[in-house]
Amino acid sequence: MRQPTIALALTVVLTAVLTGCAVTNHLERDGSVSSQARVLVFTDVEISQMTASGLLEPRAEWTQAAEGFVRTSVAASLARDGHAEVVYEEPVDADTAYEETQTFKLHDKVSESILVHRMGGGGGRLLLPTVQKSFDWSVGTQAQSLKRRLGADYALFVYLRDGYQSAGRVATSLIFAALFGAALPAPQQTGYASLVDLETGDVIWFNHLVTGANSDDVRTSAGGARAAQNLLDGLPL
Amino acid sequence: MTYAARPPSAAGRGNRLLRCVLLLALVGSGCQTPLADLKPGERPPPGSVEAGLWMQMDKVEAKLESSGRIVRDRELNDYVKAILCRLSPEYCESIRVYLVETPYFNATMRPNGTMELWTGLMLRAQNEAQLAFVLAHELAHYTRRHTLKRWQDVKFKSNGVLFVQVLSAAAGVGYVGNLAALAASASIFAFSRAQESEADAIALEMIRNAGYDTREPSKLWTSLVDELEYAEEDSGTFIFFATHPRADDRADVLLELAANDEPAARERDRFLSVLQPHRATMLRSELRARRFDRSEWLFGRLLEAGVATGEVEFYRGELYRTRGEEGDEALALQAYGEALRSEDCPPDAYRAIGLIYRSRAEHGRAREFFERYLELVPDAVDRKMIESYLEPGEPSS
Amino acid sequence: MNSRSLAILCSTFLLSACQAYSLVEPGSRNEFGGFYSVSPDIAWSRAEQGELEVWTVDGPALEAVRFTNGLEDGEPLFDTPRASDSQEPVVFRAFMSEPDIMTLVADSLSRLGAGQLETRDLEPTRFGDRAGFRFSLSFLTERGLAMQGTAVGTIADEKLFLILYSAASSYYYAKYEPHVEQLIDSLQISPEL
Repeated sequence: MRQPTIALALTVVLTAVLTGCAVTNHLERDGSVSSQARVLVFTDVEISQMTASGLLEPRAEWTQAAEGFVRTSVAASLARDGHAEVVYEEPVDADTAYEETQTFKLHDKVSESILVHRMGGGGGRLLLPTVQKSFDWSVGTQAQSLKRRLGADYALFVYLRDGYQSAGRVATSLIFAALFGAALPAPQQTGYASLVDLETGDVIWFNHLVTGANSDDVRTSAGGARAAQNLLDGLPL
Repeated sequence: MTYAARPPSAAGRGNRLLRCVLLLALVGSGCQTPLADLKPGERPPPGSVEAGLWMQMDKVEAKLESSGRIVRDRELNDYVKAILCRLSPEYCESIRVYLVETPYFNATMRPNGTMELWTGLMLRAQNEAQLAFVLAHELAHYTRRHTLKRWQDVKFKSNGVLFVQVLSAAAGVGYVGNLAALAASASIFAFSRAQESEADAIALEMIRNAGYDTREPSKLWTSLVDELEYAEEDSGTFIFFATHPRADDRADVLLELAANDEPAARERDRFLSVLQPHRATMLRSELRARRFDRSEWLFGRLLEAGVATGEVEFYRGELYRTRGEEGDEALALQAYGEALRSEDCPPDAYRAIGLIYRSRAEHGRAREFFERYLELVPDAVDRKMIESYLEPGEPSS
Repeated sequence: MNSRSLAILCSTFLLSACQAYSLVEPGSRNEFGGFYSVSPDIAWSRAEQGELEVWTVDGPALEAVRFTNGLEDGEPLFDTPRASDSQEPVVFRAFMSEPDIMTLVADSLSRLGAGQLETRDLEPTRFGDRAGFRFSLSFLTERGLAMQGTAVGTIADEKLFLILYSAASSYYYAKYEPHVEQLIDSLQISPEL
């Protein structure tokens, strides 16, 4: 089992990739992780198109493709390191469903808190002095219900948002740049991934991804895989 | 009443849009191919804009489903669903209705079949026919694909606005862009109002076919007008009425559409009795909005109609006690007094009266009411506090 | 998370001011409204939030202690959005009794989107060396996360002094409960000048 004492591992990794530059920033609890672990994988992906005027239009077929590539790549990564992916199945019992939903909702809030209060998302205005020297977030032992029911040791949450400009947006940007010498805002690839120990509920690793405008195209199998690998950068499993 | 099909991002981006410009807006959205109605059980084709909207709304629905504001009572949910199925057996399986506990008068429809019905509207509906009309109106937004059409309208007009803005700014005549922005936003609002009117007309037809009294829907709107007038609120100033026809106009049109119809089913008794176990929660929720004038009007109307006298009088008393203006204490005592005369008086009325007497230092009378309250509610959440009011050394003892 | 969702985050759960947090050292004495003070046994992060001061360790969405500086007649507990012109803020009134304060807290939380609100166990207690009250609450946030809370307060000079602790029912409430109880135990009424 992992040590109760928590140390911090903070690394900023600049990963030069073919077409762009991905910045990942991960945090980790000290301690060892199991080998040959069983890992529940949750993905939340949404890929949009930015219209000429800058509205974001969600695209189902792009999302589906990207989510598929990400899942495949994550599964391959886990398998390569000797771990097994566990697929989540909805519980039939209402109490279990409530308990698990609560775990997911708490994980959402914990993730937001890490991003904003620990990593300084949103311009760093909401950094908390109390969490800068440690990495000590948890969703509590209610996470054990996932472990018991599905036989998983860890839950890996992967969140990814990306967008692509429509032809009209690209043209408008060019005209705008030519006329005013400034670029219009373009969609950015952002995401995070988090690993939860389902025995303790502790978040043992968390990674934040921000990629420049010319990131890999996650609608392609190579781009989706690259985004997944960036998201899993530093995964202790 | 929003009664709105909501494009997912358009709401949040409304302001930006208002700042945009468009001459193309003047031509409207005429270049789009007309869309057929959604068939029962139909899903949007993969790769379509509509599929993207559904995908996003599926995620929103997952969050809504587990929200703390959802009323989960089986009986009430089944009742609402049964009305929907009476209106449209072929579509009712495509729709999930979520009852949302919030005091405002509204219902919404999302493109993927997620319908929200707010308790502030249920509290104000007078019978099942009125509620059925609201459900039918929302269903019409779904079958007519109103969200998708509005999203396309907004996208088209805002793209045009940007185009004109860039060109006019480059040409040094930025005001042209501003004029076009006004034209575009007015045009987008008009498009939305046209959808509302279309949904009203379809809904009236639907409730007529289901055997409901078609003269009821207009009363929903005249009541709202009366409520707003009582509170001296001008309905014309709300952003709501930019995207919706004015309540009084809507009432007139609906009345006209029902002009040749005979009286039919209103199902008032059934409606009131299904709502009965939930009314106290809805009344408490109504007070939480702190819209004292509108609530006062509503409580008055419920009392006039003889709905749950004891409960409504109690909450009318709570309204005056919470508002706490000159003369309100006397009004509160009078309302609580009326509540005590009804069989359905909540025992909390005794505590409320006790608190008023205690604040007036009429401790003997306060004690009487506190003791009665504790007798009626042995497991009161504030028992220890109220008991402390009766202890030796306390003025009430 | 993009800047837009962060902006939303800021504007939602009581972060309207989005003011920078500073450190509260363990053992320090911290005064509120010139009326009472507390001394914590662990480090907290503090920020002003309208009429309130909020203390948290991991983030206010997970656990938060909110202190009023003496709420006066007509002042709201939280700065909450107004749905229409006719909607008035939920405010403290000087004539309120203890059961009314319990309702005030519930109504205020409801404005922030809380549902299935339950308040219970209202009882007299000490607030420093003065008579006070205490109650417990539970609710679901608008997003459905189960929360628990405890409130301790008193009314003095027609002002409401309230310490409101709320945290996620799972893990966080229990984690900080002893430290909040310690805060309450450390409460001292400030000597009058």
